[in-house]
Amino acid sequence: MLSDRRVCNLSAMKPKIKKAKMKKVTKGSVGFSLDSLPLDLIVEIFKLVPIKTITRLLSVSKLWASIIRNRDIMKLFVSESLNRPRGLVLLSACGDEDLALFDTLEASSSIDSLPTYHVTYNKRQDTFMAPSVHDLICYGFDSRLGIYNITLALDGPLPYPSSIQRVQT
Amino acid sequence: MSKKNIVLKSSNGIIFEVEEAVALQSETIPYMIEDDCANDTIPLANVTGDILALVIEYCKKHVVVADGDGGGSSSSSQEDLKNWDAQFMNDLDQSKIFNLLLAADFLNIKTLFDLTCQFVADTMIKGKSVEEVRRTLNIEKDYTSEEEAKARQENEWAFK
Repeated sequence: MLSDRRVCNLSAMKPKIKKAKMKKVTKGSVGFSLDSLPLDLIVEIFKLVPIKTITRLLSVSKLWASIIRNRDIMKLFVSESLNRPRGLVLLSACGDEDLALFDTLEASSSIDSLPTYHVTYNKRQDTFMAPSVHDLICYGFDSRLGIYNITLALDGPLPYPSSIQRVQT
Repeated sequence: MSKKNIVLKSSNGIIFEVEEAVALQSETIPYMIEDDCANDTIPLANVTGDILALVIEYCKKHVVVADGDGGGSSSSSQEDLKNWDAQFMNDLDQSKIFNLLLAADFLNIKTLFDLTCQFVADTMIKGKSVEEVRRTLNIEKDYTSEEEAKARQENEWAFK
């Protein structure tokens, strides 16, 4: 029974949100809900939030997730991100199996305090490194590919094609 | 140059008389003058008196500084203005902040709009946990616990 109701609520997501909001108002809550702002203003605010926080905001509510996942809004995030100052990434091999990445985006005056990220790889003849595209660096060897995201300072294996399609928007 | 005054009327009937240069920081008001909305009084149906008072306080501050420097702005006055802006925003409660944002949008005052958006993003969203954001911004949690766990799991990296 309970699960039936849940399914119902899911399909009627919007009305449910409205009802919930009205309940909140009549309860006389002190604060002011961001959801009562027009959608375009909510988007203007989201545009100023770093993408990592935005991703966390997907967990705040279904309404927020639907705002953030909207295709046009995703495009906005990309163009905003491209307008931010770009970092210079320096690469150097240190040791046999370590690759150091220096990122000037978060950087400061002194070279010593540059954030450094280490990526381990097997030194082989067929190792390659692609130039950065939209803040992503692809590096690889053999059949394995790794990808490094400069903005987020994260690196990991490149997903297989089936999952790439899902990621691209 | 003679100083012309403009009379603004809030939605709850409160009258404000301001110098033209103060009012013209709004890009909406010139259109209302042009359209002959009213020769003497400009009615602002979307802005209440307390919020309009804040908007005018902001515009007055910003027009004075622009005048004093004769166009060019020294770095110290820019700095002062920034501090003033920060203090101005800090003194407001949440409901005033959101109403100010709506007013800045309606009146089309870009610097005030940017200031309020940035303030909301910086103080109510950035660096906050999901629970804190919900509490601060009064967002109803419409996820079930399982759905929330799933949404979180899909973007685990963002929580590290």
